[in-house]
Amino acid sequence: MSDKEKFLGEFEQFVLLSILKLGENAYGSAIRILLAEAVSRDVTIGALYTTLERLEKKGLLTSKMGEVTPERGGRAKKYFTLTAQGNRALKRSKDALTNMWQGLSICNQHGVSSR
Amino acid sequence: MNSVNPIRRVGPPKLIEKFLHWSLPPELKDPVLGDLAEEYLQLVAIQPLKANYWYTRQAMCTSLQFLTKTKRGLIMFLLGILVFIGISLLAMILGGEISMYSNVPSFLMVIPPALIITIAATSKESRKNAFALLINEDLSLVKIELRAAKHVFLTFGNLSLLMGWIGVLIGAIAMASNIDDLSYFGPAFAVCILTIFYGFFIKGLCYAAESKIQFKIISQGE
Repeated sequence: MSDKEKFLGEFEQFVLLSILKLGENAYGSAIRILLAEAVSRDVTIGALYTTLERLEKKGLLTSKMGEVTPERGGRAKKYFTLTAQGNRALKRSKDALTNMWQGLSICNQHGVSSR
Repeated sequence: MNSVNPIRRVGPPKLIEKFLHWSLPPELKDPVLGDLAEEYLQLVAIQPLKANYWYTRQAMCTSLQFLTKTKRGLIMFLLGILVFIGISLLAMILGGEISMYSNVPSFLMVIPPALIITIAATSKESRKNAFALLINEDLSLVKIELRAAKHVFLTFGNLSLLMGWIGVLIGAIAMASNIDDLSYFGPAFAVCILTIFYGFFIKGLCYAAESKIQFKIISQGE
């Protein structure tokens, strides 16, 4: 695996998955709300945009400016979409986790044990 | 007669919003401010008090996160000024009582004349630009405006220094005219050179501001 193909961090995976789930409606506020509801990660908008910018620089995301709405004070939305490279990175991380979990199960009282 | 209630615009705290706008990089101003305004409007309808707290927390955390990237120049400049003032104050404290460096007539001899002549010699626009350039990294001005802004600090610094020297000369003449009692020579000489101390102090601060603007001029290709 080359340096560019390192595994994604946990938060990076959450962000990329949120974008996949939201589809065409993936913009900052929607991603933030989904993260808070789905995985109880109440991140600040600044932290989220820092991650989004980093993922975009890595080539895992693309962005485009959207429409201006009155409830946003006349400011445009920034929509995010996963690139093919982003999809591959997510799949690689999922496969790696699945491989690591093989042969293991979680018991309620005794923690993780091998089957 | 029924009184008409003025329509109150519901929006995020103005000052906090302005601070966030100032600290964000240009490409993120619209998306971040828009996202926060949108969520704020949803929250304010249910819990107005919580909405203000939520917005303030989000905006302050985000601002602090981006300040070190977008306002690095300003932070370093302010730090430099603080170190300059701090080291000077420390030297003054170590040199004896701080009160011996304070003399109102000497201060009046240097600052007001330098300030008035600077105002007379420069335009309002260039003075406004001069101070705006110190706090706003994104302000884009043409070279002639940058030079005019730099000239404000150059004039004020040089005039402070000049008035400081004039103060020293006046003091020296007054001392020489009353040289009969030598016991007064030491304290009189100390007060006499305070004007040049104030002059150099102001010149130091102005030189820092001048250098900051000069760097912008060089960046544009002098």
